[in-house]
Amino acid sequence: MVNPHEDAGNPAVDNPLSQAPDSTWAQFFQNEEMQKEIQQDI
Amino acid sequence: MFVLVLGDLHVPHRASDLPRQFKKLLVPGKIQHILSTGNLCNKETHDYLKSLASDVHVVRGDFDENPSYPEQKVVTVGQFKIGLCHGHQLVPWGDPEALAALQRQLDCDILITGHTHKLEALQYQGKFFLNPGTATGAYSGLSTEVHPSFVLMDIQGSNVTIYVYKLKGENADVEVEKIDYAKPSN
Repeated sequence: MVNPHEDAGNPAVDNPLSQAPDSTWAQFFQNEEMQKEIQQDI
Repeated sequence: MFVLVLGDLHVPHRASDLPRQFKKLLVPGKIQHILSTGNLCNKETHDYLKSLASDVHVVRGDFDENPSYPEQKVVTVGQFKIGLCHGHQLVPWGDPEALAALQRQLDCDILITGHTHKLEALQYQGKFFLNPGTATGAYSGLSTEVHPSFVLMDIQGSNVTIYVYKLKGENADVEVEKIDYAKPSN
């Protein structure tokens, strides 16, 4: 599981507003969205 | 919880709009709260902020014409009490002692002010003081070299991570800096 709160990456890529698809935050938001969907399906 | 902090846009008097690099980053749906130090200066800019997040707080700058903006405000986000004031009322402008006096008056953990168009993030007497600078790079009477900047705060319990977004030059890439601050336990 990606946790960008604890991951000290390169802030130019790993920041919450980053548009880079491989940024830890992009992965985090994707996971969050998927979790929401799973919750709905259950 | 994401809190966008920006101010001193001076649209349309000193700048026409936010830099396009910033507009690309600011997408709706990610940010929960917006705290603005004022001097927007028109309704369209306020409407733009409203389109990014529903909870928008603005304090009155010396060039704001909207009479509904308060001079200062305290907003609570998570465990943080955040004080907001444009800062032209302080003497001298941006002075740490004057800021600390306002911080005590508002009894806040983080004090956000603007007006100087100079990005600043400092810890002083255990409290955190933040100035997001000017989001459009509008000129100021105090300095000739002004770069556009804004701040995003990620508040998690009693910790806050501050992301500083800066733009140096019209066609430059956005520079990002990260600062951590934990609320001292009493």
